[in-house]
Amino acid sequence: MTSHSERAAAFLKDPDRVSWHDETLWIVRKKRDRAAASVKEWENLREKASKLKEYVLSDLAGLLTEFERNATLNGAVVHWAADADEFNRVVLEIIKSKNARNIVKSKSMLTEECGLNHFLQDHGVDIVDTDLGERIIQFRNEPPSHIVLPAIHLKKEDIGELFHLKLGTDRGATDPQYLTRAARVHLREKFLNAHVALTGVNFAIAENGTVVVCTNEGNADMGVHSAPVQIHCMGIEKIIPKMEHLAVFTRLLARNATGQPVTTYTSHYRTPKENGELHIIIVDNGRTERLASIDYRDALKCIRCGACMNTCPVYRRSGGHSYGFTIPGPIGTILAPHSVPGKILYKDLPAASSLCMSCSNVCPVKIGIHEQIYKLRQELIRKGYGSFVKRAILKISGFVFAKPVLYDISGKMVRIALKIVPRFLIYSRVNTWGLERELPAVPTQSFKEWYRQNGSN
Amino acid sequence: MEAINRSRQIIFEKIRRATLTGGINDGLSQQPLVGTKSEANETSYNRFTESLKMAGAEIAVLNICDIDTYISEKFPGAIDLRNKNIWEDYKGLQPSELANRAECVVISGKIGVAENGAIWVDDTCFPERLLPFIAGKLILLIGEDKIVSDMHEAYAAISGTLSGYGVFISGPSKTADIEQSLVYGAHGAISLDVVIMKG
Ligand code: SF4
Repeated sequence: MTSHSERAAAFLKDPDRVSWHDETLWIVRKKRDRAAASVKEWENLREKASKLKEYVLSDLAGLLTEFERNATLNGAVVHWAADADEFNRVVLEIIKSKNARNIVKSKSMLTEECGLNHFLQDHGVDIVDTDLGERIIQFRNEPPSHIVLPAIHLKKEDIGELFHLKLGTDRGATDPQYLTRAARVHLREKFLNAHVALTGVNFAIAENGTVVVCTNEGNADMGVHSAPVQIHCMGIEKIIPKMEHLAVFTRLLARNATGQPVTTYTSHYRTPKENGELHIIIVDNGRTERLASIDYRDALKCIRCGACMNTCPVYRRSGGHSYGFTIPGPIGTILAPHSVPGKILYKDLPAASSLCMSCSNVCPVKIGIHEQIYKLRQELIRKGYGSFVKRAILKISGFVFAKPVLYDISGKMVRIALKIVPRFLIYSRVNTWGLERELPAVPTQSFKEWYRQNGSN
Repeated sequence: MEAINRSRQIIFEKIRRATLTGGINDGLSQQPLVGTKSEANETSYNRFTESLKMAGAEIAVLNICDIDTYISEKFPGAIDLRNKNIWEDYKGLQPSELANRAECVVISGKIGVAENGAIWVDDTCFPERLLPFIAGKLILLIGEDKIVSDMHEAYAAISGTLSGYGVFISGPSKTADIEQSLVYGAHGAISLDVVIMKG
């Protein structure tokens, strides 16, 4: 497996594209700032959202029981899945029991997490992603590179070429409006003939058994209302107690994600349509293990707004695919290492951060993302996963920093050494830091020496 | 079914254990939503029209008595769902038939939200849930007195009366998935006209 830095290096090969990616996401971040600033009570909303999510985590069993009871009263069928494999099988079973062939899906990070598309394809079921960005990457057989803007790594030329091949649009056509129309026609046909529609879930309301889905394109509704069978897939943490709490989250979500005051559609599905079926699948897949961890459970508060990605200097310059995990960026970094219970994976991701704290500052539910990254680094070093060189350096420097005299002497030695040691020794493979960077010019004296001479006047 | 019920049990058992070992019940209570309400200075009416424009909607402000003429002149052939007598014609139609017949649809909305231009419609406003989405042109009517300040007020009004399905619609359907260029008419309506009814 390649590492984050190797994959980032691949992304960085095209500097123009990297600049475009960087600047475009920064524009989204600025739109978010404007939207947030236009709401005077913004900080209060964040505080309430954070506290509400903490409350939810404290009473998951109670809220899920209440939700299940009310959803069942509404005529929904509630299913439970302990892990990804079981989730996939539940979906397949529903599809098989209906002899359904045409399946449409609107955005759901949970189905990405569980690998649903590939599972269904392996079982001969064709599933069509209907969000424009998701359809684009499905055509390219790629994972999303951002949780809100799945095709942000692509330019319109890439998409024009792709649509020319897949949808027969004019060769060389790159006009976004023209390409979007072509996708509309193509996907409309899929909607109108759909047998089963799948969606993710933004919020599930315990007090009335309703699931809420937010989209701009209207694809969740086009699918759900066309197909006789609708399936909503959610992680256990999506639950909120009451309808009135939706106000807090809907005021935050779109403003924080794209800078819009609200998504175009905020859809509330409560009962099945006439002669239709409504299924809700509630999935654990490692969430209860995270809930048991005081250090890392806060990540379960996430409402998937994507703001931490847009603001992250590493994400913006390395691209979503460099993370190699379903969810990229800062939130992906804190989810990935413990994403499979009992294992430690993606050990290099916590290093892919500058700890600038920007992610925590924009997070609408106040997850201390940078704190968790820091904790992960400590845990990984403690468990012996840090690189050998880094560990050796930290050990030595810990020893040296603890003894002022040693520190002074070694400082002098390094200043001399850096001048006389041949370049190939300093910029060797051991020092990966030096691969892309030059050391600053070596000063002739230490700060301490300089201060002794100049500091007093 | 057996296996699924077992999973349900396992999940609840794990939650219970996590909640005990994690100690997350400590000091947490359900938060009252004090201080989250919109504190904007402008009137709700002005903010509503501003938000709608931002969301890409066309706006007309009319006296109730002028509305029928306005609609028949500006949107000839529109399906006017304020008239419940025609609902039977659309109930139970296949999606493709609805697509053929419902190019332009008029729906009466129940609540307008000033802070974001969203308009609430639900099962009591249309005979088929697909209609507001399948129409290329959507026209939403909203009484001036139905405009509330923010989502808190909107949900307070909806909570008790939630039907089987309801949706906030704010502007025409849109996407920016190709290089972040905004395009109206992704999958739902390509245009949204909002008529604010006075008097
Ligand atoms: S961690 Fe916070 S900022 Fe990042 S996606 Fe989740 S809610 Fe948004």
